[in-house]
Amino acid sequence: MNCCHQLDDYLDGELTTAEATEFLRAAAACPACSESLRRDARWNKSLRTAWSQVASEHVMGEPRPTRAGVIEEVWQRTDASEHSSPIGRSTRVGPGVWIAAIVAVGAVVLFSSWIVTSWLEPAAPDVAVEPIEPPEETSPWRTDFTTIESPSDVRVDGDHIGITAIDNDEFTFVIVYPVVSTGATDKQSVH
Amino acid sequence: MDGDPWDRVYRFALSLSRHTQDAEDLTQECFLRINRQTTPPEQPLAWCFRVVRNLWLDRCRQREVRGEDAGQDLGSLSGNERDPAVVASFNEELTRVWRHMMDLPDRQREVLYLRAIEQMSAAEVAETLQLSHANVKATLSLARKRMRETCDPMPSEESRS
Ligand SMILES: [Zn+2]
Repeated sequence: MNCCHQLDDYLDGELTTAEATEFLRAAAACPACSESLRRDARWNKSLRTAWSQVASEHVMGEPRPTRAGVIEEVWQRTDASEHSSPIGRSTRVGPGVWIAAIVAVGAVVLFSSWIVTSWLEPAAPDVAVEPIEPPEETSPWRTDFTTIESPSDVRVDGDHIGITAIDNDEFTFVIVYPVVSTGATDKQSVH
Repeated sequence: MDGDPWDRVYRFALSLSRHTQDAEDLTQECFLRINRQTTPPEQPLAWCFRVVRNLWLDRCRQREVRGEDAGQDLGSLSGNERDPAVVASFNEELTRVWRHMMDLPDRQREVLYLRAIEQMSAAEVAETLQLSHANVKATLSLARKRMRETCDPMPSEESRS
């Protein structure tokens, strides 16, 4: 089958919209590709669910004062003049210093998080198709965990195409592609 | 994967180190470093992933020099046995798939993480990890093949393993 040699490119997110659409149509009729996509969709979904439940304890709770390296860093930044003695600091630390260091680490963490957040562009995709809405975890071009055996619903709305794909009644995914060429041509190509 | 940048960096660190303590340390160090940058990196998250990876590789080398467990080879312990707290809230299916991912070879695990969880393209993974594009694609292909075989084995694959 022609599709098989494109499977990895598709899963790597490296096909153009037109190529991906064509691949999915061919893959739907190919037992090997269908099976790979089905199995990938399954472990991918579980993996994403698992990782979404993982969070740093640091964010969830208080920073722990056992992070000597971090405390050291903060110390150097905030308290260098006061604690410049070559004597090991661990023998000189009173509770007040630890509390100050913990507060400082918290401040650095919050500030750093804020910086990174503010640097990051909003991740929201700039496409929306009514009435098809992509599920939250799906964004255009990211079709790694999507499998289409029989596209059950294809809609074209202005600049976008939405495809609802149902796999074994287990998962429903929606792919939303921006239409690159004229709407009429793309509309025909997906039917 | 959406979420707080701290958690995203932490998760990547955990995918590398497979230890929550290491992941916490790597994340904190990374954020302290980014805080020291006078000009923000163009792609802060990719920058953080690179820093975390370099920090982790340094840490492994240091541990090897000291003759400690480098974290790269944890013998027969699988992912959930190393870090029971992480999988405590998982159901059986999630635990199983998690363990299979954590049992992937290091390189396969890191590229699969960035592709499957961070949803980077192979090109973005290559740029982030400073690997060749061909290397990333070949590694991803192997990782997916192994995940298919271990997570959802066909009868023939089951009898092989
Ligand atoms: Zn095929």
